[in-house]
Amino acid sequence: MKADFLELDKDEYPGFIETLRDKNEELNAFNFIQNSYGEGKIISVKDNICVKDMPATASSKILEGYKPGFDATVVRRLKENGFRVIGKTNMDEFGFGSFGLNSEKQAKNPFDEKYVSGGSSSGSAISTAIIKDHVSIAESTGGSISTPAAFCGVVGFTPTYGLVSRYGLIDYANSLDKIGFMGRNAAAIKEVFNFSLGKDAKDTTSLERELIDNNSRKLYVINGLMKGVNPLVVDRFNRLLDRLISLGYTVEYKDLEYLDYSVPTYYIISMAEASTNLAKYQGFKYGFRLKDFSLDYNDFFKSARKEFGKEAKRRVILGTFIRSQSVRSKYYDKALGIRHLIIRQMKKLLSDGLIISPTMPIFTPKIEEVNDINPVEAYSMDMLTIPPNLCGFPHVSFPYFYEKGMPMGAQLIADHFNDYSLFSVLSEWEQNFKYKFAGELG
Amino acid sequence: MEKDEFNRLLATSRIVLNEIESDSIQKDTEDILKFFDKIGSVTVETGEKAFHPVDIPEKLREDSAADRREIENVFENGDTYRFYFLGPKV
Amino acid sequence: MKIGLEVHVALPTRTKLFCSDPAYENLEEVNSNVCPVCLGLPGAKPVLNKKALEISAGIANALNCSINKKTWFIRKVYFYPDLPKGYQITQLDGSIGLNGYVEISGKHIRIRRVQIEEDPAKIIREKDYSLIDFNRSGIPLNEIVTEPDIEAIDELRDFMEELRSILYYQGVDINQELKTDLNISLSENRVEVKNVTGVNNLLNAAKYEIKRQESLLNEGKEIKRETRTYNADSGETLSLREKETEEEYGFIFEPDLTFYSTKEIPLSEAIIPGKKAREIALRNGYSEKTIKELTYFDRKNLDILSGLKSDEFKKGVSLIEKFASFNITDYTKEDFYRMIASEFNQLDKQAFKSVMAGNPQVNEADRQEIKQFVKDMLVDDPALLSRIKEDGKIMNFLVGKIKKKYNLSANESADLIKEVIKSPSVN
Repeated sequence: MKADFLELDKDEYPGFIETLRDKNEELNAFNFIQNSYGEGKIISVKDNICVKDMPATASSKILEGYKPGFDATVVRRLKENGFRVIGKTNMDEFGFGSFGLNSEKQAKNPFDEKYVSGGSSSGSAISTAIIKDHVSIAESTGGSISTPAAFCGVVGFTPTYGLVSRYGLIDYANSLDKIGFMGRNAAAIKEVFNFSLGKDAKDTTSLERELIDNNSRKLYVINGLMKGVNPLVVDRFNRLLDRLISLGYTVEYKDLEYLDYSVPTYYIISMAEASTNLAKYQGFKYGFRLKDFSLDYNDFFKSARKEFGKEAKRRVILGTFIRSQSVRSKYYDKALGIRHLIIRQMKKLLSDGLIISPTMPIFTPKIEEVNDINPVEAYSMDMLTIPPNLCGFPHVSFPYFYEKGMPMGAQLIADHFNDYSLFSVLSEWEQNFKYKFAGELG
Repeated sequence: MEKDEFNRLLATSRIVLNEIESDSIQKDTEDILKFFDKIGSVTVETGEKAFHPVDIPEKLREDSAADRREIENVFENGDTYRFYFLGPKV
Repeated sequence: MKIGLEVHVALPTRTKLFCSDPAYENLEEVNSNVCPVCLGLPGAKPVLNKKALEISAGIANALNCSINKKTWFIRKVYFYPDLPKGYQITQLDGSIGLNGYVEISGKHIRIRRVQIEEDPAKIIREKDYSLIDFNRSGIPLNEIVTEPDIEAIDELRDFMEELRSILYYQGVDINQELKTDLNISLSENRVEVKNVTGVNNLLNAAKYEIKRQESLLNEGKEIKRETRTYNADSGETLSLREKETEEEYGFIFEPDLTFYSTKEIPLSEAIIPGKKAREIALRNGYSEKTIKELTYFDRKNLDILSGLKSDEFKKGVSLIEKFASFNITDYTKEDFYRMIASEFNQLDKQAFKSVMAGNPQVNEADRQEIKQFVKDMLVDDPALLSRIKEDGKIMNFLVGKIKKKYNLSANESADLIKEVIKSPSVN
């Protein structure tokens, strides 16, 4: 399939932007929309990725007004290849959230505003769902691409850790953050992904590797993971498996004991790292400026840091605790050890197949249903997206069913650097299943 | 978690909470730590740790100045006085 | 008494530790060497300077440390306006060098570790705000941490002298003011004096603290475990206001960086100047103190003296002292060998310099002969004297003549002529 990208001429552009702004009033997909016209294939960029001459806030009040003045490496590469950024997309503050609600402006599902869009890359999923032939540059730490892609009915691809440079990405958890892509089909995402690849001298952890398509037709389902999934979701998922079997895939059920620990392991590592990354927000060099310089610096910092949202505060406090000398080995060191075990275990399976699961253990929830759930419940919803994210495996969420008009997503996981395997399966799926999108702006 | 311990964390991380926030976040913190304690039952025998999910080969920079002026106006984001950045009192 | 130190040394690289801004150029222009990385802008990432790694390995090696096969970095979180990221990238268990020592007069002062870290920005206190210059942010440092093995002020002085000399031989700019944290305990409670600048201040701070702690002990009072600061103007240490919390750094692995192998770093045998000076002194039956003075901060002298044979040694030392007494610092090895072949002890500064510039040495016999030659000319032509005084061209002619005949420099020739003219026997 050929990759198409929306391109507009000078006369079409203002009208498009006006409709987009109207739509944005309802859904809160964008934090910033570029009014002035420029040629190029249209993309949007998550608001934690720096674009020269645009604000970058990561949806945090503490970053309000920050103008980075430089392009993230991925943005620079895409600009050099004829793409043009039309705006910065809404997200959970700093990436802290699974529903798109931890933002000043709560994101809404483009199929039905009463429902969540998913997060943290909420705006990237929504914009992809409503704009014709759209691709959005997003980012995932623990499931921030798969989750909103599933809820908004688009394809969300998270590459192997390190393949896309993180230079210009506002850090959540550096050993977990991965820049990835939302799109309407495998071909478009693959093309943008290919332009984004390559060694970057500015990011120590960026890798240049030959990518593999292992052409496997073997799919693994992990018993332990399916345990916590809503039985009705399991039922819809089994129908997907049947269709895949009819296309010539084999399905095998497996046990992976350590996967049960992946959620706490992930949150321990991510909070430890996040609490150090958020230490730089002090209210005077960029973003929110307190201006009251005559305050003693400690009081100044404490006052400025009130601008963090509740989830950010929660993670800073917990992360600081996890790093305390008295418990560091019990939590942080231990979690790094478990991550090693999980990677080893999953790699064994992925050497000759792909892992498949629903993307989320639940149907798309209404906003009111999850607005007040407690953090442990919320974190547990990430049980299916966390394993590949914790371990840096490439994975993709794609639409496979519509439940009362709302899309559902399934997730495929491949071994490190086997990113192209995902596109092969997905292309075949797309020849047999027609996605329904929420809009066709443009 | 004792209130003192919780307050020590707030002071260390330079976070101030009002009373309502403080109570609710302290409770969350306890719940979440209980959830984290699950990993206590795993024995990691190898002693190996995954600092990154994949091996990151070393990447070093030659000691030469390059790429000056990546940003055109370094003072754009802060308050300044005679080319110094202004900061809080020390 | 036990003293332990944390000495901070700026490394001689061209660029900063994690970004390619110049480290030392144009420092007087405030905030000129800055980029997203050393400003700590959200989105920026560090990449390690290869040269800083190599220099650090050299320093660790010279301090007899074992070099970690793989070295790595950690984040040390604390809050101060000069720290751009809210954490400093530094080292602990993964330090480049561990468990070394420096030898002073036969005693080992143990080095716990040599760690690589980034310098914070420069901060200027004002009454109602602070001013921050990020030129210094990210300059590569080594922090050298000793065990508390120093037991007297003399040992502290000797240690700093030896350490600075070792660092000098690793290419470090020895004119920099070393910033040192001084840990000093006369009882079981340790007192830390933070951020003392320069060796003199360090010695004075230590002396003051010893006196202060001694008198407290004499009065039967307890010495508080605390952090103090040194005021160079008053010569006193002062207690820092107690912080509301004991800062907890919450170290974690620096996930923006990786592990760095030290296996491929070329390490030659380090020059230990104390050891070298002792060897040279012993071999030539000379005082160690003199040799140290000549070689501790002068690599050229060390090279020269270690290459000299015993029979020439005394002369060599006196020549180096001669260079010093004439304030000649930029001499080369070639200059040294040229001068040692001369009768340099008989030369005044000007003649010394002339010989150094390659002109032949004029000995006393030659000088008498030349003077006689000039005198004879004056006697032969009695009008000559007054003509010389009236007409500069005649003088030049004479100078040229002597220059050619005796292979002398113009200055020297002119000096000799003037000497003759002024002498009473001629007038």
